[in-house]
Amino acid sequence: MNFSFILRSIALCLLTAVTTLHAAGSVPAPLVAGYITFVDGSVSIANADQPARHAHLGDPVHVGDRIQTQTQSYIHLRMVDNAFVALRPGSELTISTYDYDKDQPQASRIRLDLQQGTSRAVSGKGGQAAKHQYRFNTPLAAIGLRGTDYTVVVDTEKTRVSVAQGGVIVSPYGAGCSSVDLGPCLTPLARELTANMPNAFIEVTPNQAPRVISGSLAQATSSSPTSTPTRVDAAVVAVDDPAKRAALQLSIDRTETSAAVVVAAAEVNKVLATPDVAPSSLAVGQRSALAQWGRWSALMQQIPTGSPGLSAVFAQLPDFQIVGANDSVVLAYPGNASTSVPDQGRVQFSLVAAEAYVKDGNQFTAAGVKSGQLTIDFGLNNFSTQLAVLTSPNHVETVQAQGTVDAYGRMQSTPALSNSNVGGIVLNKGQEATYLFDKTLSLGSTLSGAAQWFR
Amino acid sequence: MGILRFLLAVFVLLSHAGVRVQGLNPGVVAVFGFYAISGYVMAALIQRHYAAPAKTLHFYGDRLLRIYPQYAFYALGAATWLFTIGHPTHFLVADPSTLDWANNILIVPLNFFMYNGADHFTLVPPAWSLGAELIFYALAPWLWRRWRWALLLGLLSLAIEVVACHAMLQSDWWGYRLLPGVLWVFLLGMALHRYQESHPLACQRAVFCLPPVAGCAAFYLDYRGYLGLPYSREVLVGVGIGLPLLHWLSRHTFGPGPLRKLEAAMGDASYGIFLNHFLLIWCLGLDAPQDLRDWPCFWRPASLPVCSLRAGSSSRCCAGGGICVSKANPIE
Repeated sequence: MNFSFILRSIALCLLTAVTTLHAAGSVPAPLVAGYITFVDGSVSIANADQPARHAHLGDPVHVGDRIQTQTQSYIHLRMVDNAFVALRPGSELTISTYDYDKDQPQASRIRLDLQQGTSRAVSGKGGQAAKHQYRFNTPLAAIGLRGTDYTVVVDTEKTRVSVAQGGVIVSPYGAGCSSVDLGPCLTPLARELTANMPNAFIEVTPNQAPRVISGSLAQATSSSPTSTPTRVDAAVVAVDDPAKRAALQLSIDRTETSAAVVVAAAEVNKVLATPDVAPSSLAVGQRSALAQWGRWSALMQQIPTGSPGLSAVFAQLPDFQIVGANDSVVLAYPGNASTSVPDQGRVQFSLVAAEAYVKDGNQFTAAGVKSGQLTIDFGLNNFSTQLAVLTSPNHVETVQAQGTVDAYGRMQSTPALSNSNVGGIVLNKGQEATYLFDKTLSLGSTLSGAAQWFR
Repeated sequence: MGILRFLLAVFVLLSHAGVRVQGLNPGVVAVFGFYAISGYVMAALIQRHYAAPAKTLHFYGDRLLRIYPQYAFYALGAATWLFTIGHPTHFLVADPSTLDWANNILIVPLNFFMYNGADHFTLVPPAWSLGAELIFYALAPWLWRRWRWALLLGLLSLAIEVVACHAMLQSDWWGYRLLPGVLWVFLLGMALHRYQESHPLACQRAVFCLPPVAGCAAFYLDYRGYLGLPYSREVLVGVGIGLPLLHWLSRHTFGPGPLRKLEAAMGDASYGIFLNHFLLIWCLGLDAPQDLRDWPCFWRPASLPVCSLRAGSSSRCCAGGGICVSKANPIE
């Protein structure tokens, strides 16, 4: 062993050590998830690889950061996809995943974990383009995205969620819903809350299904523990009400296997408070309607109760004219009825009769039309309508359409402005309007029916 | 006929974009046009190449190779999109079961979506009509060889259509989608080809009587109050205009040159457009517009070339693979 060999060995060892150290030091820097746009009070940001540091305006936040706000402290974040996250005092949030590529926003993967406190989140381009890979976790529930702006309040006993725009799907953890997954959990216990219910929020407590609570989340959060907001337990109410279930011909199985269950607290309240809108146009008070609908024979065989069959309706209407048809009913009116409509005037109509069915494969189930509104602007020849239809004990579908009314009273929805297909007829010099509707539901079944309105 | 097929495919696309013309659904009219073209082309194909009973299996093989590769290409594309970057749509709403996959592989069950719920998971939504066409293909050699039986079945089918037009059956299903109610349109196409050569004058007169006959039927249905049923008007327009147009176009072809090449290219692209426009709509996120502002890119002229390019690329891919041995167009 000569001296040069020893030198070469030492040099080789040093080179190996330097290379190893360099490799160890070349761990990729954590991804920047966003930037601090507002901070007030004492807010700390910790990371597994770094000690806690104080948050400063303009600082970046990274994937893996855990952000804690102390009392009287606030922080606002503008994320890389233009999302907005705000934390209120006494909150703790971890940015677990924030993969966003502006060239491929649909491939985004986002997960935020709120351990405690209150957070308001407005989703950005990543969340909007990849709702199926967006998740906001709390210790008790997984929140998936339907829309844009929501607020989450977390403490040790419950998670509460309200929505300002769009909607969220909230599910407790359990079978089919893990905190490490992304996207909404479409479990039987999942509940959807939309901005259509401004005075409601979802509450998740341990070992219980999420509940829709009517009232303001802010008030409920700030109120004393004894002032419990009114609880609307949609699932329990409906399932425990055999008359309602029989009337709706719903099965528990179907309810329990439904994904993305929509709970509208206000509408569920109406289930208890008001009967369904009368199914037949013949049931309209003292005024008899000109337009009438009858049901297809296949539907009559499955569900005998309801409006009459086609032949009975045709027999009642002299020289009838068929307006249209959908999966469940055919709409017709007497051929001698005037179809002229007023030249001007914006008219609000009242819902007087309605009938709706959900068709899944070859099976029909009755649905209850709870409420609705119809406005026709005869001057502008257009209409706008909305119907709330209870398709299962805790699932309210909204039929919404805008469209045109021609000089012959024909109503036709505009697809780009409607979530349903609506077509109908205005009769009796604008005194009466009747339309058919159909809508493809989120599970692939179709909702169809008819609604009648008087001024 | 390539131009006609292209226009019909565009009508289907426009229909699914919500376009209506005086309340008429152009897609429904187009589908009836396709039914008639299909009958015509199948008759030509069988007469020229598969008239002998022993050739029936070859006919089926030809049809399979013509229909399936492009269909599979776009179905796979839709599945890939759905399970990678895509999102649930009205036609792809549930986790697919084995049965759902089988429905999409076999195509024919998609035609019976109103009974089996196959539309919960349909990778190529317009393929319900391919299902009706495949059933027709299965019957076509037999119908061609037993023409009197075919005429009888055609009359029975027409009777079902008439019954459906009088609201005694679901007119959407039995008057438009299911083969028993629309076989007569396929057979009209077949009859057109059959009699064009043997009885040219009578054939021409009969064909050009169709528009006034359709008009009279429309007048009758309106008088009786049934014209508002879906899709009575589209049936009459499709048959009343489609058959004469088919007859005229089959008699007038472009001479060799760029116009003929263009026509052939348009015909080749038509099947792709028919199959891929939903995938395009989904990929562009146009499947759930809430506001007109969400739509404008769809109305830009660029959308059609995109559709066509995709269609053309798949056609070339298919042709390049050497498996498209058909002598007829696939959309029929």
